[in-house]
Amino acid sequence: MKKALTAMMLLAFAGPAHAVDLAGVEIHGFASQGYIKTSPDNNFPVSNSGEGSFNFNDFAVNFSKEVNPDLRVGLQLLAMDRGSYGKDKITLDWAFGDYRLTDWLGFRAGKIKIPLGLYNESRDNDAARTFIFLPQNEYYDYERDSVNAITGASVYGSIPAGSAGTVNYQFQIGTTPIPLDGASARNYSAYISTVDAPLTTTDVNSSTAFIHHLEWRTPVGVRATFSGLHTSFDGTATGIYTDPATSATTPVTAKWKFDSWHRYILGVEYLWNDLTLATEYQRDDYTVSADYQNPALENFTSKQASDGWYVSAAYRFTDWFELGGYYTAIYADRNHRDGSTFEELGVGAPWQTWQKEKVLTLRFDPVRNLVLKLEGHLIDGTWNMSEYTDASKRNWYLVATKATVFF
Amino acid sequence: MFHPKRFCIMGTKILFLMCLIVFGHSGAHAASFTIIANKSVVESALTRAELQGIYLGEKVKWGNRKHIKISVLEDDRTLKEFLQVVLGKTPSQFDQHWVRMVTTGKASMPPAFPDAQQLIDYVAKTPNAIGFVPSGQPGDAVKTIAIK
Repeated sequence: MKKALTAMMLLAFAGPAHAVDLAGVEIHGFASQGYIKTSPDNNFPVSNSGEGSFNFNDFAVNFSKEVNPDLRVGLQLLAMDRGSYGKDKITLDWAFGDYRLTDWLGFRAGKIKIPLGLYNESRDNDAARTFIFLPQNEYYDYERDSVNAITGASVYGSIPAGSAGTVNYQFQIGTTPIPLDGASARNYSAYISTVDAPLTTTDVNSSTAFIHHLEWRTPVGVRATFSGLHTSFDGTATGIYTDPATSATTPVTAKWKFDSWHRYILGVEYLWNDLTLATEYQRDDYTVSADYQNPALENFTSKQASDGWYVSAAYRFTDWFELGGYYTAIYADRNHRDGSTFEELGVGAPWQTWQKEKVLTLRFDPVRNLVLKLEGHLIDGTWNMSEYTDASKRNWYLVATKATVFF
Repeated sequence: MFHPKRFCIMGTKILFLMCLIVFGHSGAHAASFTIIANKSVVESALTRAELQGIYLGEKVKWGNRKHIKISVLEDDRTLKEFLQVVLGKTPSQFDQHWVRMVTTGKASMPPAFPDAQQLIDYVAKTPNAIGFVPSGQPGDAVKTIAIK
């Protein structure tokens, strides 16, 4: 993958063209390598970031061809590494056929990027944004493999709204492929694991998912979006239960379900000359249940209601330098933002139910097709830290740098 | 305490500032670029909203349902003015928009030309193509499109 990408990069830089074109097949791609360091006891979102890690990269190459003026086909291969997941395994990021009948009506079928919020569709490519990490409530790294794309069909189009601008819409139906070795499956295991019974997901089934996305683009630089994702999924997890009193062990098989998962995201972006302002609010509602099929463990059904928001600003001072920052707050239980849920259940400290981040990013574009970034986070809380341990601290930092070449 | 004189002075300043903004905005329409298209294109004028849609990849069909082929002039001054007047975007914002379009498989990257004559030649020989060049350069090989 890396060798192929390198060869294509060389081809791309050989001339002034923006892409490699081979017999009518347009080829684009990017290669992004980073370094990440977090507080020693807080590993996120790379499993060994506390020690400092280079297991932080993204590579992609895509191919597309215009079969006729109304019909396009294409696919993108993606590999990424985040330490304990990704591991530079090549995956099919998207692959679809696209038939555009009119401006207001088009159809896609295949594996299609999910349009959630302002940036979910384009989150893979570091060069397409200011920040290294997009705000983690709306664009959670550990969820990237499950909300990246839908396997199914979509209908979309653009409707002129006169002096009010344009309304773009997308409706999708299908299933969200969730890889067993991905970060999402690991997260589901964490939900139903207990201290005495750590479990590993062995099977995941997605129900039909429905996605809707409306984007209103005004003539004065404002872009507003409203998106929704509705689905359910279930699976099996296995592990060993260790009795804390006797140390006797018994096998555990758990049937788990995330039922009636409804996600809504409202976003607004404003461009004014070199200034970009953005804000988004997301809320999730779903019911988690686990049937452990082991008398030592108590089955449960729990309704979850989380939310989060962010405000961001970025300003491009010169052709080669941009400064950006954002503040984000994420709450595991939006009805108890003070974290009293965990405290009352005796399962953790209040600060484990939120994550609040202050972020500053420097972006440099020293030459065409090359982006360098440096980013710092000051973080309060650990809700999003999937690989949490008892040693993890409430207040911690994350520093990351990334170099991206794209064509 | 309410001071009518100060209020009037402040009001005059705000009005003057607004006039400057409006003047600056309307002045931008006296653009130093010209929209050109292949002679097969039936339209002779487009609204700014239509041009926005075309250059953001939202409007992809001409009135006769033929597929629009957009092209971009890389000349720094003309590109900046075209993007500011028509799209309200800077070149880097425009680039990032198209990187997103291409990375998600929604569209092909528009061909870009470093020289106006190269773009004119491309538009002249490509049915349904549209582009923009510095004013006074179009020639007879292409048609000009007015902004309504």
